[in-house]
Amino acid sequence: MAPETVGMIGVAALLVLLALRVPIGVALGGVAMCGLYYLRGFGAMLGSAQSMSFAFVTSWELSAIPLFILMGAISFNAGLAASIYRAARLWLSGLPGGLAVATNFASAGFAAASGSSLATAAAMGRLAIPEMLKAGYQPGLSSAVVAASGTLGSMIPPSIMLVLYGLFAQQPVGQLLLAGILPGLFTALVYGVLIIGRCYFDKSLAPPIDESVTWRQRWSVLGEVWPLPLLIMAVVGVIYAGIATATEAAAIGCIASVIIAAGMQRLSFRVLRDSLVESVRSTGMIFFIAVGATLFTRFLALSGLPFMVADLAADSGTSPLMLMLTAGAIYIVLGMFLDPLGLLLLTLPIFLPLFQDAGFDMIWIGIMVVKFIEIGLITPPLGLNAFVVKGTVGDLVELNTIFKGLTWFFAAEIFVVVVLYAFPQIALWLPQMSSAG
Amino acid sequence: AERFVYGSYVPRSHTFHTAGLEPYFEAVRKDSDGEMRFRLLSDGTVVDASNTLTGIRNGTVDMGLIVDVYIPSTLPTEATINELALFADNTTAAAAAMTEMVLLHCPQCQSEWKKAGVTPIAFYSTSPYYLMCKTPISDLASLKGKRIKSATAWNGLAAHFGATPVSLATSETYEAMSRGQVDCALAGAAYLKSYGLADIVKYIVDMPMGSYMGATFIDMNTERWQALTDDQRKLFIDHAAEAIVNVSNGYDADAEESLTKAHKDGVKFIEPGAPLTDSYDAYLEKERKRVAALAEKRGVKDPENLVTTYLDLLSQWTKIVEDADGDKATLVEAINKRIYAKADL
Amino acid sequence: MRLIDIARGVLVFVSAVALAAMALHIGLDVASKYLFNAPLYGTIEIVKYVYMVAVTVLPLAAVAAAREHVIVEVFTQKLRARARNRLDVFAALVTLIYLGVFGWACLMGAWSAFQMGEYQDLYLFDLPTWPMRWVFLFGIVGMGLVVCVQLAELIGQRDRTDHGTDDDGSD
Ligand code: NA
Ligand code: NA
Repeated sequence: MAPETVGMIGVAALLVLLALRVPIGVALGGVAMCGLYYLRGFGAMLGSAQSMSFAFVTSWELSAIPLFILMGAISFNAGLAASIYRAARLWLSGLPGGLAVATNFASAGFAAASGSSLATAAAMGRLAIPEMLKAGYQPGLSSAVVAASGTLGSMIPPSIMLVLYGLFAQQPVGQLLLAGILPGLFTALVYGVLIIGRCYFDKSLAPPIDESVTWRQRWSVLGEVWPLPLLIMAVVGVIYAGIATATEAAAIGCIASVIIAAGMQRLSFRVLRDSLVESVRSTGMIFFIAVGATLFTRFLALSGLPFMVADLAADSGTSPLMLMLTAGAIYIVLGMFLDPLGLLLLTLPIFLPLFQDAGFDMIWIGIMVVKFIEIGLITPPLGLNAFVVKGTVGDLVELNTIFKGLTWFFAAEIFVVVVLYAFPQIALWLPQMSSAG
Repeated sequence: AERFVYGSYVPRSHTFHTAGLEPYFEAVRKDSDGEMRFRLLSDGTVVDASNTLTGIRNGTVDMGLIVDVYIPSTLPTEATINELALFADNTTAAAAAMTEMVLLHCPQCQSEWKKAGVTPIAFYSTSPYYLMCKTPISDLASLKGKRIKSATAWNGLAAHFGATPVSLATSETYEAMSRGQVDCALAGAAYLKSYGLADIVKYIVDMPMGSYMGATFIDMNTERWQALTDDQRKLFIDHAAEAIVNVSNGYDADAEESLTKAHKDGVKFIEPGAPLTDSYDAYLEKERKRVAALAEKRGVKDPENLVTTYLDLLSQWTKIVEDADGDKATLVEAINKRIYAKADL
Repeated sequence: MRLIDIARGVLVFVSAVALAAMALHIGLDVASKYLFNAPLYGTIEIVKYVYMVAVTVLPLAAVAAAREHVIVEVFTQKLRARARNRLDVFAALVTLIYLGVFGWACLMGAWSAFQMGEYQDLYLFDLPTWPMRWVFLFGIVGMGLVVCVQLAELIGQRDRTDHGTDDDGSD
């Protein structure tokens, strides 16, 4: 059998195992081991499983991931998310759909402390949805805005997804994180406009709230959000100013979040312990998949399948735009079934050589890929952010209602993707400014 | 047809691939009438710097780029010879001397390779290292307190200059330097081009300071090697000498191109001046002792003899290379006559 | 069973301590670099070879116990509890085989690294790396034990459903 055929059988076997409820990490690693055994023998199988996985986890760049997770966990457990939401609410609730707008921008704010979309959606879901429902907001809008704005967690730095992309694509992680800032803010802005527009034209979505907020209250609530600029400085600022690498920024962020928790007088042994334990569990979960994915990547490379696909693409004279459209479509379709990290790690081995051959800027590609994967988070049937929101609201809102509410945000995302494609500078400007300075 | 998979952790565009390995593969393929084919898996797609040797041993790949200093516990003797880097100023001579040393004059190296399950065939050396900085330097005194990216033998040299040695992967050097993690790098001039350092480096001390010479670039899983026919093995050996010279020339050309471009771009070339050269020479005086002591610590037998043998070979090869005066055929013949005619592969 | 719970707790504890230590160590390195112009020697290697192994692999047992290993559920959501239970038994078996082979590979690797005293040369000192290969193995074994217990539970549930005494796996 030609090695390439073995590669294709491997991909098929992987999909079957996934459908049969085998954990993603096991399916990836298991198929890879069988493939390595078939292609290179028993010794290669055992040897790669052992030496590649050890080499993978002993990585300086990847150590940013547990640290970013820890920073988000401490921030949440110390009540930072609640403070941001309170402030956004006091400032923005006067707008049409004000609570939803506030939720959206509070998510963008908390995204600067959290490295993951799911964590951001979970944090905001617990805080904001009950409030919106109480104010008579339509359930579909209330839950969808949390699911959608939660995706900012992977775009606005810190971002676990961008760290992983950087490692697999051999791109500087610091620059990638900087590249996520403007696309993240732009997305938040588009969401904001969308919410205001919809609520302006359809008053039934979000009844105006009878809440007289004084300017005094508005100014005084800012006293609660001082930690946020501090965290942004600690992570984004030190990377931008060239003071620290991504991993160092992550460690500084952790220490800053502990200081913040202490400053808010919310630091306890319990907060620390819970944050640490939650963080290592998430880390273990991520790395178990990622180790499987590196083995699978190795297996595919040895089968030669990615090269065959790349040659096919080159021979068929695919234009860069076509490639981007195809990639986008594949991500959105696969996003229906796969979780974001699995999707990222599964597709990179195939897509990276294609993107490279097409001459794309690989930092910009990182942003596009993360954007595609975020879209997968809010589309049915597997839309993890919708599930997270469903988990926080319980029986109050049907899953279908959430997905219906997300249709509008899906449309907004498509608009954002087109703009990011047409104007790569939105992503590339900050990293370029930074290395110039 | 036989297919050989080669695993390399450096980028596809690296000189060692384009100037040395790919022409070598092509020559072997052609001479075997297309019966022997190669697949190069570069950029660490299958094996990385720390596990290439294990990958070859367990059969994940058949051949690969092995850099001994990453795995001193597997190849202690050879890694120690490599600590003599500061004495090597001629790319081709260093590569040939290392190949001759391991294949003919170092039984202890051979037994380490045997235990590792891999058969080494040829080594290359990088072009000479220079001290290249982003922050201003002028003389020896200005190096005090600088952070310098370095490795192996250069760590001690950096410390001797009063600087702090910093260990970084070569691929991380660009980012670390542009972010001020390090002020300088002790690295081959070719890195200006291949790792993009040309964008950041503003000062270069105009004095070569040794070169890294222990990269095993032609080798094979021993079982696989022994299963080949005599004719097949002969093809691998016959083209090895030319590959060594090709990689060396490629490195030298890259270095020259990089330095010329640096001159044009207005990089400041610092005359080392007497304090710096004296300090360097003083350090070299003690270097033999340091390496012998390190060898002792790593359990290498008869370390004095090891150091002397290698330095002898290096000076012999330096003379041969100088006499050849850039004639490739002469060098290939010399390598074949002195090394491969006698080696038991 | 109790023993496995305790072991799991110990693994998570060590992992959490390593994560805290990693943040502090890197923070100190940065501070020392900027305040005293003296980076801590070997930070990168210690982070890679000591903390990262503990942080990534030791929590795997706890992840399995909390059923946090990600699976794709869309295709099997509509299945009856009994059919899903069968699939889960299959998935647990596949997981165990994977961890068995993986663990065996890690044992071989740890043993040979131990025998040759594997280390990294950091100029000022040698950092032994062979102990972390064993730590890696403990993480895999820990997860394997938890999955064993879960498999036993799943089979127990299936027996109950097969005999029709209990409608579906009551929990
Ligand atoms: Na974020
Ligand atoms: Na989806």
